[in-house]
Amino acid sequence: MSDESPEAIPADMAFEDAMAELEDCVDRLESGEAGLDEAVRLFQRGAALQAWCEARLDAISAQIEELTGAEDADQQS
Amino acid sequence: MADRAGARVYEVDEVVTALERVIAQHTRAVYIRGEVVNLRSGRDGRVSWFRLEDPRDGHDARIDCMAFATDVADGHVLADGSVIQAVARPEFSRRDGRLQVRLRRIEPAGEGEILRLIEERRRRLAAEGLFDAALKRPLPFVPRGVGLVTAATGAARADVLRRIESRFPVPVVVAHAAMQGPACADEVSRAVAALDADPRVDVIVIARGGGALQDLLPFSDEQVVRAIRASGTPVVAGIGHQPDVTLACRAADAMAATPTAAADLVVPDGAMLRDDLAALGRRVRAGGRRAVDGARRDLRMLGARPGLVRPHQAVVHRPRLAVAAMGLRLARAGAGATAGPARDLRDLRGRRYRAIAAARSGATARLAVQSARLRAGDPARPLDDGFALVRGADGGIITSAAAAARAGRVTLQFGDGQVAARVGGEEEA
Repeated sequence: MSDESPEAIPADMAFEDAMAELEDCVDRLESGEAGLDEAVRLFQRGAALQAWCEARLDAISAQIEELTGAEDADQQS
Repeated sequence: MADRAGARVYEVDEVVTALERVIAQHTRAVYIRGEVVNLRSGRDGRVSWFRLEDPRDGHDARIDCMAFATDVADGHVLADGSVIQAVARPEFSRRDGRLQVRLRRIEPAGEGEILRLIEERRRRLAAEGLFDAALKRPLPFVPRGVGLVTAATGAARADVLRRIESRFPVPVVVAHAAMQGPACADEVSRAVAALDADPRVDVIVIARGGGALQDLLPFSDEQVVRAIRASGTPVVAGIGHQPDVTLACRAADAMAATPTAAADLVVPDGAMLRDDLAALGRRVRAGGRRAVDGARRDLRMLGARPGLVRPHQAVVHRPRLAVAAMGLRLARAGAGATAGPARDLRDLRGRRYRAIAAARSGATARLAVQSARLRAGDPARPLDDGFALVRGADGGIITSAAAAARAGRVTLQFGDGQVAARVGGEEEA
């Protein structure tokens, strides 16, 4: 993470991990303890994470597929 | 082959064979419920014969039955007078020359007996650790896809799909299974395995609406319990409206009281998530802005110090000058070296600003430059550089030409001491 650009987010990152990291960015930014350079990095990382999460949400769409392996008879007496 | 009227006479074997064939072709397995009467067993106990009678008052129907011991649900013992439920298939018994039904999957049908059966099975499977809390897997926060085990038609299916659609529309793979009846345990187990093997599915929901205890019995089947635990994909049970009743609920990684509630468990609330995300985004931007603004404010504050902007104005900057003069006097009062203490004080002040500013914004590199400029702009410096502090007779600092003219007599304070002076030649702006 430290060597990479703050905007780089791996494609296989779990959504909840991204959200957690985003919260962490916010916490650290709001604590005021980060130096200016660190704050700028946190800001860039946070903005990238937010955009990534939103893109993930936008990409999700409902599709319904029926598996037809099992007999679908709903036997009722 | 006597033939009195031209009609064919059949041998017994032919008639029996014909009956066997007719019954086999024109009947199918059904669920039957009845009370066990006149139970007899073979010598080795492997086969039982009995009659099933309609237990309802006023109904006097009965039928002969045959069953193997292996067809009786474990934990259950056939007994005269017990009410059972089983899968029944009519057949003609060649040896006994009568119609009977062959029973499979015999289970108790009385509520007390069902509960006792479930409890015994629960204890046995719990001893194996199948219901251990440590085995429960966490559900994914946002699944890529949901697998749904449910009847092809029915309210439960519609409830789950509608809820997922409105809450967080992820793809759903539906595996159909009978949700009651003799095929239920088999089909549900197979559907769970099929969805577990589907790479698109991150979480599996078994959904069925409420039902009679008897209808829900297949969900306490050992096969279903094992299928749930064998799944590598977490399973949520939304079975019946009384969670806890079925063993599938206990084996599942999470359970819900209704199919709709099960849907709530497997997908997050999309609207809330978006709100959270937007709020976090706002806070990131505000935090970034604050950090930059803080650094900028520190810069501005330091840059605005009179000594830095226009050194001569430092002289008229009252509060700071008073402090500076005091520091100066303090330095003077100190024995020996005159320059040392004043410089120490300035350094101290520079260090303090540096510390405060560093604590606020952490912009230490920029602040190193700033503290150098701060030292250069210290209001005490001008007194050493030839500027003087003008005081009136009352000791108050005079900050304008008009006030000086009015005062007439003033005191000029230099870096190394003060002299009295008289103001002459007034000039008003």
